[in-house]
Amino acid sequence: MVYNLIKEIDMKLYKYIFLILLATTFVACDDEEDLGKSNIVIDDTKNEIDQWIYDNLTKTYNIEVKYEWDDTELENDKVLAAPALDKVLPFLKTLKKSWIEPYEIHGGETFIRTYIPKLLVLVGSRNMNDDGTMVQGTAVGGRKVVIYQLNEFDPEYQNSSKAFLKRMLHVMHHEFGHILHQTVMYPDEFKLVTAGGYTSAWMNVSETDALSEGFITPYSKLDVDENFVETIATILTNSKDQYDAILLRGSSAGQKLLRTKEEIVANYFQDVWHIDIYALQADIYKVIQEMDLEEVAGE
Amino acid sequence: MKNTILIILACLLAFTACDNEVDELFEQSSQERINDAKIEYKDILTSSENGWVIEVIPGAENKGAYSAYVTFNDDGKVYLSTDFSPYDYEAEIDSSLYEINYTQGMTIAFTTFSQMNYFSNPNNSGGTGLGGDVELLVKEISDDKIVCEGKVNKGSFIFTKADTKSHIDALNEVLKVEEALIGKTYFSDYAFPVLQFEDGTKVSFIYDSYYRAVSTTEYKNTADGVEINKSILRVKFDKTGMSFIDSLEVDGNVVSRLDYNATDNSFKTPSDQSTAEFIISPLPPAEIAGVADAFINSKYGTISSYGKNFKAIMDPFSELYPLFAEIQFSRYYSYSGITFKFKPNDYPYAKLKDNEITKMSESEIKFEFDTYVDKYSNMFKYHIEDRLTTPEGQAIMDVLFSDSGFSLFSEDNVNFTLVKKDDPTIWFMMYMSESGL
Repeated sequence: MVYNLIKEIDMKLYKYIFLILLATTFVACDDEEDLGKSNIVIDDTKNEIDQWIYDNLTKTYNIEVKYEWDDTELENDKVLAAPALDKVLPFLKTLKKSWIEPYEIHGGETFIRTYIPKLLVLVGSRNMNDDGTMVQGTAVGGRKVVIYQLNEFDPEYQNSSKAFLKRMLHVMHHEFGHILHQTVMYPDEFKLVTAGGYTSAWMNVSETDALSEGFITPYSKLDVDENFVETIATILTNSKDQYDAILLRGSSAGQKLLRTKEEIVANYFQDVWHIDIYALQADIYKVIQEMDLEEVAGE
Repeated sequence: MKNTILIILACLLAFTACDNEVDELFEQSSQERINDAKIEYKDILTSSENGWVIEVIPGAENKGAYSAYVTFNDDGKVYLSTDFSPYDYEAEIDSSLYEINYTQGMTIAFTTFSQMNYFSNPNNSGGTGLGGDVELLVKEISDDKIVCEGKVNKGSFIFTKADTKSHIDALNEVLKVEEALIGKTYFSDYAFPVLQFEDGTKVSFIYDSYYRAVSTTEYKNTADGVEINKSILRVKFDKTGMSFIDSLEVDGNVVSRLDYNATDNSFKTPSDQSTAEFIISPLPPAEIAGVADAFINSKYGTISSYGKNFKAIMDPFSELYPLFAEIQFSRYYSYSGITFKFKPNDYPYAKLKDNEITKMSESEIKFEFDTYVDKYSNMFKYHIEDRLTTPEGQAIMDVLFSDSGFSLFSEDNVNFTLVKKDDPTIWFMMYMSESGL
């Protein structure tokens, strides 16, 4: 009897001890604990360039621009150099006027904010390949676009800088085209126009031969996606007359194929994105023609 | 019962095991220590009253050193200027942004393009860079000295406190010394820059301002001919002279420095080293066998550079005939001669006697004049004879077709130096090739 009583008391004691221990574990999970000051320090001071980027690109279009050296954003096997400070804003201002704003007018605010690449990385030097060719721009996953050779952009020399801007716009339209077709695929009929003409040795094809085969640039012979976006980029970086003149450099058979591709691209822009590509083409050309680079850079 | 006790003990042990009060090696977390280090490094960089001078030795083996004066500001901007300016003899202030980061260690990075990028710029090196670095891993740091290593190419960057605020003046003093060396090499009377030792040993000494390096060539006469030993030595300049990063050693003579004397425009070794002087010699440092044959057997060439006295003869002709482009040599069947190229595509020439160059010895040649030839003469608007018989033209002809002939020197049988035998202050270099026109 006494033994049973002691045993009963012990059992209760153990239960209490167990419950107390259990309770302490809940105390440990108390989420009201003050974790103290964060040890991650973010330097949010902005210089003039940072502030312009924030006000005009980040806040408005959700674009981040990296212009300071950050090798984690670049190819490890290449020697590259950062842009000079005095090149960054002049280039970004002209790019905004000649790329983002015309697209915003024709595609709408939501369109441009949704699909524009979210990270623009600027590099000052050339990106040279072992074979002596140069990479003018690269894009990663529809999110990041890298622009090279910025240190050669000098608004004081309008003609050469406009030619440079045109090359960079080609890159931007090219990469933006990838984002668009990765969002809504272009019609299958585009794939069939020059189905047998693709090659990984596109660099060995001359511009004239490419045109005669129905490809707008030698690079467009790489694959169908590149073909599609090169067509977009060539339309949007030339006036209609200039585009027609490019086509005339190829054979009549090539011209016919290129016109078919142009029609598919124009319909794709109209049907999917409700953008008249010819009106966009005209506006971009007008902006570039009328733009005083020095004046824009100084704004 | 025993099981219950064991379970409770196990629970207690489990809670003991979860104790996170482990002994810390540091009072702060790693992130806190990095944050504190960033603040400390920035304080050190910005607190030097006159800024810093950085002695930079790029990571590539054959690129010499330069000095950079830098002033780090609180706002993340660094003002800098270097004494390495291969395109200009005047130092200029440049600016860049900088950051203090932790990557493979604490790092000072120049994050926008500036003069610090010269050796890491693919544009001036066919895409490969010249061994430069803009991200510097800090190895040692104190209030007075910072030792860093380039993150990619492992160059050396040693910061010491600058002793003057006048960075440009300090750099221009250094540039004057470099300019003096270049001036002696390219604007002296004679053709052959040489380091001459007291014991008579001579070493060919060519300074390359683009690489901040000296290429030296030692010539030794052996039973098999002249033995040629070449080396490239990196150098650095200061306001009193130039130093070799690795000493130059020739036949037991060791030289690590040349002091510059502005009064007599000379470069000599300091008194504690082998006695040597940088001179420009009238004669080649060695006689290379077969050099005359090599020149004669070349089929095409151009005068690629010349000394100041030949320049004084060439310039009036160029002024008189602005379309005159250059002097070439061609040996093409019956058309062998000294060609006077006029822009855009006129090639009249002074034909050589018997279409041949005269060999005077193993290292001496002579051009002998035959006649003037206006090749396809109906295409020319003038006759070459008219132009070369002017006083300006005749002065050139007198040199080229001198009776004394030329001493020849070449290490590679492609670039030949021709020194007029009766006046070694007149010399020029010809780049020759085997291919015909």
